[in-house]
Amino acid sequence: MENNVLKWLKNIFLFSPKEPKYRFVLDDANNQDDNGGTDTSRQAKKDTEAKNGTQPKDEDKVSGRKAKNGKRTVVDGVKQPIPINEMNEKKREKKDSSANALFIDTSINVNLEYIKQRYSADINGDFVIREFKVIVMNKDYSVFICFFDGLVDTIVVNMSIIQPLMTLSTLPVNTKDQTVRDVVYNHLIPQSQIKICRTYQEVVDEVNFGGLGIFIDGLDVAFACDVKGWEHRNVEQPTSELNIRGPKESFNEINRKNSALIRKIIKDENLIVEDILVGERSKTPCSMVYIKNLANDSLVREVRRRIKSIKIAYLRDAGELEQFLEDSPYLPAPQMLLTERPDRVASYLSEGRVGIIVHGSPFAIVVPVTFFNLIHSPEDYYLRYPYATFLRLIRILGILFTLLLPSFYLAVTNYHHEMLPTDLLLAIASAREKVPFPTVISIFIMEIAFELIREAGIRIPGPIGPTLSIVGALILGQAAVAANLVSPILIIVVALTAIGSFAIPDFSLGYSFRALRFIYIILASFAGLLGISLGIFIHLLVLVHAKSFGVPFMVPFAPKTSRTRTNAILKTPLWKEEDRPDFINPKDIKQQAHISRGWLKRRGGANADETEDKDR
Amino acid sequence: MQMKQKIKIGNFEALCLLINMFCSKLILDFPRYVSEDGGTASWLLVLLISIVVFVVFTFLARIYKKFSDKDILDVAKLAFGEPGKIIAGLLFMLQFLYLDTIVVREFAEDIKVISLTTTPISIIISLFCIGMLTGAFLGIETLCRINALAVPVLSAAFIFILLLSIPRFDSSKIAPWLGPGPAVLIKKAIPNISAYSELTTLLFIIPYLNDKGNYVSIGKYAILASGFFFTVGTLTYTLVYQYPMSTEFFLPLYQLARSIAIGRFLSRIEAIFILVWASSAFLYLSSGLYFVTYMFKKSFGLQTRKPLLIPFTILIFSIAMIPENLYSALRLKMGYYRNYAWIITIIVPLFLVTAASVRAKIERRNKSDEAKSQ
Repeated sequence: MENNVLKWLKNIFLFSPKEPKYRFVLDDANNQDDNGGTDTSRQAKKDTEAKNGTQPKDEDKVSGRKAKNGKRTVVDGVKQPIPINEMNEKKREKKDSSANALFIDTSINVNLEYIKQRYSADINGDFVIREFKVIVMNKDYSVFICFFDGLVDTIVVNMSIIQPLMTLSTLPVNTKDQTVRDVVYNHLIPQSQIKICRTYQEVVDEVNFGGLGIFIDGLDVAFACDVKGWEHRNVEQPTSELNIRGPKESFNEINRKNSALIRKIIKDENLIVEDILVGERSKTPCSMVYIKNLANDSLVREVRRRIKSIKIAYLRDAGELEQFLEDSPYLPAPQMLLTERPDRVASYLSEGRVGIIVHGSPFAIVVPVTFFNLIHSPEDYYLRYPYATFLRLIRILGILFTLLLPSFYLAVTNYHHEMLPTDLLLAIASAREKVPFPTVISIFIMEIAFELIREAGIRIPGPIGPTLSIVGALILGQAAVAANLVSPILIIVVALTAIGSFAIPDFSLGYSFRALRFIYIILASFAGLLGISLGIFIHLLVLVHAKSFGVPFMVPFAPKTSRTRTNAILKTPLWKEEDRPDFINPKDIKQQAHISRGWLKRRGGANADETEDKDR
Repeated sequence: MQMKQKIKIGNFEALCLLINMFCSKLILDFPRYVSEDGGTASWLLVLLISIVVFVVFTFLARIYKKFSDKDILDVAKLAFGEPGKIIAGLLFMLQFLYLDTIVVREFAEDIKVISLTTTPISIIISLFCIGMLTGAFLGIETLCRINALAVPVLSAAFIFILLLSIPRFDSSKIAPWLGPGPAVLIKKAIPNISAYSELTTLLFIIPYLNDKGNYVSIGKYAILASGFFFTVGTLTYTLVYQYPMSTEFFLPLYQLARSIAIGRFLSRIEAIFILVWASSAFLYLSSGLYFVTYMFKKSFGLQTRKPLLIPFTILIFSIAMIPENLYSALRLKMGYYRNYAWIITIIVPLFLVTAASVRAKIERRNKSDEAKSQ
């Protein structure tokens, strides 16, 4: 008890924890080796060894040692890839060696009993077990398949699993020197994705995720086939990131569909979709998506490490995963980008960032991001740069309105009357004459009323939506003024604030500013512009201090970095965006050629491809 | 895997930190008190101070080169051991504590006079203390970064105010050009060197710089930029308000902003000036508090700095409440600080660096003598 009190007091008085807080720092990718060491450290090690008179260990020698252990072979100094079969076999052995693994029995009755118990088949209405016979090498074998009704595609099950097993076995196939397992695997199941399972758990994991398990009497393995066929939304238009120009596809709830949507845009074999299961019970498939030869190795490792370290029971959405991954949970701004647009994810991946897709969520996560990424719209890249710059400035104005307009109005009317031209001051004063409340109360009434309407607008059933608009408009507008609760000018202020908040492209950032404006209102009511200055100062301090996966949140301005500064607020012409953002430390900083418009003729008579212009 | 975070400060960030630390006094009372000393030639006096500081810093940087991976307290330790480090640390710390205390009171009094006339001074000081505490809590890296973000904006706002004052310029107001005469200007320049007393901060952030060797150019550019702002600010003020009228306004730049009237709508923009002013004050005060706690921690070899923040904030708040009014606070600054701060800024570091060099030389000689005798 005493210790707890002391600990609490220490926390109150800002004593640092004994263990330094972990903060990931994104370093240079090009110096990283596979083991996470840097070339410099390796060089330093070599130098030390040279100083001590010992011979530095060669990479090949190290690899040679690995080869002796049976891990990796080296031929002429080049590491040879491990065959997939061998690797899968090793993985399986490793998995099987775990204490809880229960191996599949050769007796079908034992297997059937186990599966029935495991799935409570007697009470589980949607769990299907179908028993039948199959003839292999002129011998009858009892077989049962199991799957969840509704999760699988019944046509595929009937046509590609049951029918071939029942009928194809009669075809004249050369089965000499083949085992029953091989015959079934090679000839009787015409399925593209089939897995041989040694333990029940492997089969159960597959069946739970829309697969189908096949058990054959006498075999100590089962087959798991991918026959997913559940109902899902089609690829539709984005709902929260609308645009006029550019693609109009959005993610849906299916992991593989989402990765395919990205692959459809980036046709690159280096695009890696790395699967990780999250959630001890939900076993939600998540995919880390990155371009292997662009994304910083340390960033990829960090994202993988964070995702794998999550220990929760259920993961339902990318929004939940975001909260488990973010650097500063108390920061009043999102540190990741959640987007429903595959083109946006693809664009960020091509800069060297990492995407995360969560099965069941129509939003993909992109990391790392900066504050300025959150105020960009995907449409910025599809519009000519003068328009895009104009739109960005409008958006910044929207942010300033959302955050500061009510507080600024309050500060000016309460503390700094001298700022207003006399006519305007008199107009405001006469409009407020009949209002019995102080300005701060009026602002709170209106802002809270607006927030209520907005929240209700999201929750309200569709058919009665217009009613809310009418009631809201009446309450917020005419009635409030007629009842002398607020002044007409305040209505304009609240309306501008609301419109400004809708101009913020990132939904999560919009929430942050909407909530923070109340703090600014309180500060302005206490100390006018000084209070607003204090708010801005602390707000900026917190944002500047924050990091998103090792990247400072306010980069490229704080800290200042050499490249890409121009594209943070003002849009640069696309042909000028030669480099990828340097703060992400991509493996290849060059995004496009110095002269990307090859048709241009350079001064001095040379073409863009450096050949002499003979027509000149 | 636990990873210790390294503090890294870029060149531009360090430059902005120094510029804000120097120039924040420009929006307080700097143009006025140089007007008192230099009369119509106040801008020449400022130019002279800047040149002197630039030359002295160049010399200091040159002899500091061999210690360029150490801060000034490490140098003090090299020169006089642990007691030397503690004494030097306390000296620098007291300088910043004194400065922070006076500046917070000054800013608070000025805000009270301008806009928050009915708010108690303790509340205004408390608001400054909250900002100061938050900034110092988040550390020097964050402070430097926010300086890098804010200083260009603040500079633009400052230049904007100066540009809008151009219609009111009258070149006859700076005549006679040499004011009280060259001898008086030189004599008055010495105490005014204290305007650059925050130069000491550079000697504390050297170990955190991305490129430690760049401290020389950072210092030089900071003096040049601040010298430019000081000179232009003072010149504009003198061109608009003639001496001795220029010695009467207790907030010269505010007065300048107040007098701007271009057309119907570009008038009375001084309230916006409060935003600029308060931002600069928050940046200055948090950096000041950070250095106070850092110096204390470093002097006594403490492991952490953050537990010192609340006690020192309370101390600054309490001391800031001691002066009866703005006049008393200004007397503390003009009467004592300005006359002696330059000794701590210029003489003490020069002395410490020289002593450390001599001691290092003696130790090297002793070692070579021992080696020869063996």
